[in-house]
Amino acid sequence: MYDSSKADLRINGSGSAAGGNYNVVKISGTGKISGDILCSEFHISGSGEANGNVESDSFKINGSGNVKGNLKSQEIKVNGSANFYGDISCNNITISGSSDIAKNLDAQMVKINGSAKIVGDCNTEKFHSCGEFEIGGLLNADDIYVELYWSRSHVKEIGGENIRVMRGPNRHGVLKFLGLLGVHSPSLETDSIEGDEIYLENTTAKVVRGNNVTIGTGCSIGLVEYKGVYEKSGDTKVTEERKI
Amino acid sequence: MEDDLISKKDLLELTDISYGQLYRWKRKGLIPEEWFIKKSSFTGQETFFPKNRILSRIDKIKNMKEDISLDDLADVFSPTLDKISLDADEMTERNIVTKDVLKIYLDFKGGGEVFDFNDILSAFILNKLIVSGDISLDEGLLLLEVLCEGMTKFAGDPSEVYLMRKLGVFSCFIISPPCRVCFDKGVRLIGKVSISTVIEELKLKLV
Repeated sequence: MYDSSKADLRINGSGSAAGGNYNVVKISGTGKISGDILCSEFHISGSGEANGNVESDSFKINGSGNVKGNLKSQEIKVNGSANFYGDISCNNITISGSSDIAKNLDAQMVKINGSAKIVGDCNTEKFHSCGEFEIGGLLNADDIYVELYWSRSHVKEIGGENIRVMRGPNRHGVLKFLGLLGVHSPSLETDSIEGDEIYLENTTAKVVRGNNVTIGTGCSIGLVEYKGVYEKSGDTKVTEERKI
Repeated sequence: MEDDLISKKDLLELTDISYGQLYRWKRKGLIPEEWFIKKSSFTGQETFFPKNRILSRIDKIKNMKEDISLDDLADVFSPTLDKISLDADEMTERNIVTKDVLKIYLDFKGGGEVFDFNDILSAFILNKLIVSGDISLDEGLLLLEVLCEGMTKFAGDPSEVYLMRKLGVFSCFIISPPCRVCFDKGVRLIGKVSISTVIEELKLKLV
């Protein structure tokens, strides 16, 4: 994929560079890269911007970063904030902090600790979120595990095999207090959820379809369709239930 | 030209697959995005599929998935034309064409012994139609000319070959659906070949 005999590109302080084929690209301070870039490692500490497409083995942002083109990498880590204007395809992506993705995300494993916004679809084998997220299209994953914190998460549609949405435990006393006041109300909103094993808490959905469905506390569901086992907790609202 | 639609719920029941499987296949590109047709219904939105195409696709996936990984399978269903080439012997060995048809094809194309994907595909279609007895050898040549031209024109787009006869005289053309066609009364349609279906068949022979 890349040629390890290539030179490194290092920007310390502030500077800009043209794109090209590099070994390690490291921006410490402020840096801007104007063309497409192919490298083994792309690392921003501080603030950085890539104006073209980026292809790398590992991609890491500590601080803030922008990628204007498409990003393709085995490993993506965002600690801080990032804006991606193109499609992302990768194996693992970990977002600690916040990220905006203007198109689609394709991955094997997505981890969100913080907040993420994806305008298009999110396709992955595993989706694991502790925080808040917004997905404009379909969230399609084998394993979806969501712990809800802070505020409202929103997804147009969810499809997969195991889908588990839970309210995250209140770790801090102050959140508990805000929760009592009704200010802190983590929840998930979506049009439809389709999966094999579904467990939901604090979720608002028009339709939920699955084999085994459990609707936990704090949900508001328009229609539940199930094949196997169906359970519902007391303090939750389901308008219509159908066994198929 | 669009066939009947089937709702997602009916599809799952009929084919005995789960939501998890369906979404996984979608993710892997085994079921094309265009087949997910959203329609509003009394419960909000429901997804429908073109019935015949999705049923035959799911049937194929279920029958093949034991031997082939999902990613390889995705290649089989992708309409992109592979960068492969075979020589004349391999073509007959893999049962893509019979010796006689291969000879016709070589006469038509002339020269080169190496076949690229388009060549293989044309020869495969020709073989299919001649062996089934739908068209004669001479008519095959006419078909080849049309195929040759059509493949460069339509490239990877889905297309269909129509074969017809009027007063015993053979003719054929290629269309790229969705579109409608209308014939005069003397025309008898003798066959219709969907290129994408043929590509799937062919790719299975090439795996």
